[in-house]
Amino acid sequence: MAKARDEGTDHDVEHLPEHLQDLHPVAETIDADVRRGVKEVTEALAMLQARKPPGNAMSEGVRYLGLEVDSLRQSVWAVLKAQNAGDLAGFIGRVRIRRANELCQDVLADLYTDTVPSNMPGLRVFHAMLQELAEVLEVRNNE
Amino acid sequence: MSDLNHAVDQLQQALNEIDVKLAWDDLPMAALEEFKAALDNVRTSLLALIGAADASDYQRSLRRLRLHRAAQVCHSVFSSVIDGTVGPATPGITEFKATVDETLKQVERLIGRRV
Repeated sequence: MAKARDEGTDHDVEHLPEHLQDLHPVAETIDADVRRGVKEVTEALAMLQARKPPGNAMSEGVRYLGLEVDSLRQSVWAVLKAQNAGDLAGFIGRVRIRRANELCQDVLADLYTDTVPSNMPGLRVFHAMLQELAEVLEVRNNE
Repeated sequence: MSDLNHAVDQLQQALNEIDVKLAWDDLPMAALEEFKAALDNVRTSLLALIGAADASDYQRSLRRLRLHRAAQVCHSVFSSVIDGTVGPATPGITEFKATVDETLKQVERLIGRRV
């Protein structure tokens, strides 16, 4: 699989007979997405360095970017761990909980300061997700 | 080194690490998916920072991003709870549950529903 990755996944898929292309492992597609993601983030970084964002946005933006980078590094760590153990799912679960807690705390801070309008796009979806999550956590907690 | 340069430097290191790991054999699908989600988030944050017309514009974008991300990652945790990889014994789950309950309460206060 790694050899196919090194030589270019999209190219390999294109040369498969059409009826077999759907059988190409999903991992190869995600792999190509990750490579494209790395390229796009690298380009965005170059843009960021070339075009400084507005002054007051900088500190908050850098703090938030730091959180995202931390999340990215944790996912790299998840791969390292996965090489040695069969507990990848458990590790990823723990990373997700930490990340979800950080993000919800950030949203909570916005809610406390009344900076979230009640018609903010995505608020209803978030609310529905929180309801489901609160319910399932309560059920699991009582099992 | 400025905070921005430091963040950029860290991000570049993380990207290099990913490039190295991608060359490994048999990377688990779950790991690739985590990479992809994390990369998507970094890219969106960067573009929001770059594209902001002014500080208040950026703050609005950031709040929307946070909400969107929080919903995404809560959905991931939900899936992990359902498939049993996260449970009452998972470290951090008690604190997270308290955060979810309080966030739900505040969201319901905002949208005017009875808690």
